[in-house]
Amino acid sequence: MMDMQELRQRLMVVFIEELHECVGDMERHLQSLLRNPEPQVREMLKNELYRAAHKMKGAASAAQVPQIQKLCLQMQNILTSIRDGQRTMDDKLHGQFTKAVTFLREAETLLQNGETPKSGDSIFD
Amino acid sequence: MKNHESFRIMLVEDSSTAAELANYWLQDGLGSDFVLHRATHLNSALELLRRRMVDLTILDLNLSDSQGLATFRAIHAQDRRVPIVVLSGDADESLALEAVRLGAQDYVVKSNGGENPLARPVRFAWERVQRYRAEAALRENNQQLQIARSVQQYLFPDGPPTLAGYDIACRCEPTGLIGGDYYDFVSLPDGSVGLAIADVSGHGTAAALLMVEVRATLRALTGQGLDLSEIMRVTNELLTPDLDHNFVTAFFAVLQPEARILQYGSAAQPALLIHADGTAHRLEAQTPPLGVHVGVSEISDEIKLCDGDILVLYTDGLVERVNPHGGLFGLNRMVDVLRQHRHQTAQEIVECVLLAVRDFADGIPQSDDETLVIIKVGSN
Repeated sequence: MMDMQELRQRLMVVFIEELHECVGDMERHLQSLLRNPEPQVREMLKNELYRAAHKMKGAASAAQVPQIQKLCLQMQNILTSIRDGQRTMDDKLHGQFTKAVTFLREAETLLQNGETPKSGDSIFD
Repeated sequence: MKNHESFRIMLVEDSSTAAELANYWLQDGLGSDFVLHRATHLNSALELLRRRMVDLTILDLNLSDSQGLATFRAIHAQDRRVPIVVLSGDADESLALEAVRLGAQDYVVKSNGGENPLARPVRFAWERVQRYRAEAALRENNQQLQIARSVQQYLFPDGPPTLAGYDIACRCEPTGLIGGDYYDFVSLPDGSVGLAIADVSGHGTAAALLMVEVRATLRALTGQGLDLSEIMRVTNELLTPDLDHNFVTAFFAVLQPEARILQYGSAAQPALLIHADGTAHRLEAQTPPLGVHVGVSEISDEIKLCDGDILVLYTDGLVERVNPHGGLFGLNRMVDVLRQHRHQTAQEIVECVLLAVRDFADGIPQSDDETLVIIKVGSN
């Protein structure tokens, strides 16, 4: 049985791997959205983005990285409002999502180096 | 100890980090005595359930191929016997209530704040699984015993033989569903009738299996021209290697109905003869039970039966029945009952003896198989 310190270290290793994979998925989905695909495909891509944000929110909670957890929750909420027809994925929002994914990519590097990511609160302001 | 009796938990979680943490929580709550199967998609979770590999499901509702309560419904519908603990990142009370209403055992929120949210629900689920397994084993055991009882009942005679000039009745009441007592009537080629009563030491399944062997041995030997002493001797030789520390008390007899001659042999199993005037005579020979050791010379004797005689074959469960004060029903009490009811039919005598034994026991359940055969001479 691992002690808490070992557990945190183990969770961080798994989280960084998962973050790397998930950020790659998000980047691909955002790139695909830029190509202005069919509405059905757009829906699928937005759903995939939502899934990735939801998954990373849970993973960040498990690994205790609140900055990423909070940002992913914001992404998830915005994607929910898009799904519910309250917002649309316009260029501005697409840009904010791109910034958020860039933030996550940088956070991955920081975490690999044992550093703490800064807050991503301003991205969707 | 990770074997088939271990607790098989399916963790349905698409996040590797969350799965790692859940695994830690499970180890913290259960030690190492569980087997964890992880499913990252609904389809793979359903497949594990289909393969009956799951005792408990820990379920994240949001997966890539299914979201929300639809995930719960699909998992629950696949196998409703498997309890589900919903492990969610959302502290959504209405969602939690709805999940529980639909049949979830619990709804716990993922948090890594030090407290283990899975410890209590998984321990509770483990208790339920163990209880379910014990109940299933008991049901299976009972089914097997019912089958064994049917087989054993089939091995007993359909009823007493119809013999001109005799009134015969019999009853065997095992302690449980099956027992180690045995009685039999065998028609022999010369018109005589073989009578047997035997009591295998102990009771229950082991005794019942040995009782089957006694019956098979005896049935195989009768009608082969052997005299009674020889039948008992060979029976003893054949049974002894198989009985281990068990033994069989037995009373064998051959009745020539018309001549009213009874030849009998006893291996530590007495019988009674109640005469028409009420006097009682014990029929026994000083030979050890069957299965104790080989090479015993079995002794048989012969008597002439008279009108009104009652031959009583019984096993010790009847006379050794105890009452709440620890007293034994005893042979004398049984003889008294037999004397008192000797003018009634054989069936009535059986009922009276069993009733007297039950009354004496005054609610103390029988602890041994009880068998009684009444053969009344000159009654029809």
